[in-house]
Amino acid sequence: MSSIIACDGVSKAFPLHRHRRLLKDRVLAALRPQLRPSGEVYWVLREVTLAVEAGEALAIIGPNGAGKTTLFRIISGILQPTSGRVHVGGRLAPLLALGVGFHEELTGRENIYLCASLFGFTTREIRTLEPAIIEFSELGRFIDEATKTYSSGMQVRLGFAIAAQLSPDIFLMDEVLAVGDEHFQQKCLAHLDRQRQRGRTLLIATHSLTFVEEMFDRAALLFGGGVAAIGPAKEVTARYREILAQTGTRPSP
Amino acid sequence: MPGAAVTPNQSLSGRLARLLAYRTLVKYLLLKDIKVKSRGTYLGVAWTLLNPLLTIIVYFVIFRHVFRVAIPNYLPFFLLGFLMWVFFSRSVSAAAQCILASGGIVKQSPFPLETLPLATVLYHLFHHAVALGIALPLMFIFWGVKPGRGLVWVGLVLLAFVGFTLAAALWLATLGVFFRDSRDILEVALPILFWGTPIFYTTEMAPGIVRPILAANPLSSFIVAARVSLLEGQTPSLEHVLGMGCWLVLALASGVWVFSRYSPRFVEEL
Repeated sequence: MSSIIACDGVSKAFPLHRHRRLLKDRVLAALRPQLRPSGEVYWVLREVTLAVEAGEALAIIGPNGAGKTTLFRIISGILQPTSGRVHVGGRLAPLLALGVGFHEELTGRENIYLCASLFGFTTREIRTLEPAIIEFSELGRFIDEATKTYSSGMQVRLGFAIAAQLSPDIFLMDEVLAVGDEHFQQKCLAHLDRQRQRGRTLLIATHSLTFVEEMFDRAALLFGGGVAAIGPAKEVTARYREILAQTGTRPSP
Repeated sequence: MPGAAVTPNQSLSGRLARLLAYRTLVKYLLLKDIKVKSRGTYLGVAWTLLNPLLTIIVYFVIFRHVFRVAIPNYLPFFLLGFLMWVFFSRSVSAAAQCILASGGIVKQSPFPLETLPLATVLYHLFHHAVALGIALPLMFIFWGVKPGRGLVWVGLVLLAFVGFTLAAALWLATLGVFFRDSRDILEVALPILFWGTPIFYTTEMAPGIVRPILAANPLSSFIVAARVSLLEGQTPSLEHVLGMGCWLVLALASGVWVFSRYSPRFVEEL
């Protein structure tokens, strides 16, 4: 097996005190040195080295602010790392949120086209996927209603349905499974499981440790911007529970 | 589906290839703007035409009947230039907000960000085309403008002007992210630019001391060249053609450069 995603010493720093966003402030800063930004930075990720093998399911766990979303943005190519290298050897569908690109004035059907084109699909490709997306979303005749009339559950269903039909080599998901009702969640999980059996790679960030133990081969614990543990899912979740017990916080069920 | 390359090829050809791969996105961003606009208001797209129409009537009455401007056939004289201005100013104002307004998708999806200013300009180009589609026949039928060889030049000048506007939109889209007061600055700068462009007057009417300023205004060469081609059916002067060519090349080169250089940092600034 070869690595389909390889992060090699990836670090990301964000500048602190980045609140001066007016031209006026920049002009004043140029005139008066004491007004210049401090140059202090905050390291969200430090030297993250991580390999995901083709066809495996890897969960990323860790507390809020550990850098999970930043890491996913870097792997997707939305953010550039400050240092280090990322290699992705397949087509990737990043789902950092569901229903990205939806406009509430458009109908569900129109949003399918807008949202899927955001992933680089052409009209013809979307047209072939459309029936499967509508069926998976279980929206029925509501598909031609404006999305603003949808409940949040309906929007989530449509969002996942689009993502589910993209059939990328790698599913990258950030917490998006924690939504929808029980029935739809089970359907999504079953779909991901089928994708895995077809050799697709799953990389999912989640807070649900039981979900990680049931569904994943391996897990990586991201803590304070670095990989604190990586290995078999059960060992990593056990390690995470230890850390949480020491720091006095509780994991989600 | 094209692979979401992690470090996309940053060369010009690489960026163009990636933009081309996402052409469908430009189409649906454009359709979204048109549909949302037409569903949000009772008159829909007609509003964006009604607004310049009313302004045209007011300016015509003031300049022709109050200030008594002595330019013959005054309405066709300023109409084309004014519509070009409306297209330009609306495009750049919207471009200054286009990245911020799409912050949600910029933060969550990897796609070529050039699609946003491009769709913005195309949206206003759509309205511009509708406005010209109404104005040009009126000029030919009622106001004695003769359609002729000059029309080819009108087309070429308009094409170059769209390119120039796109370049300006790339600049404003970039500036709009880094300077949140761009909108306020534009609100002051655009009216100054408007009155500093020979739309309702000729360059010759301006006092000698102002003429170099008018000549330095990049919009002047496009608007005067389009007007001369349309009204007099002539080839624009070499001076104007060179002026347009220089501004177009300079604007496009710098606009593409500034956008390519700074767009990877947009996400962090949102």
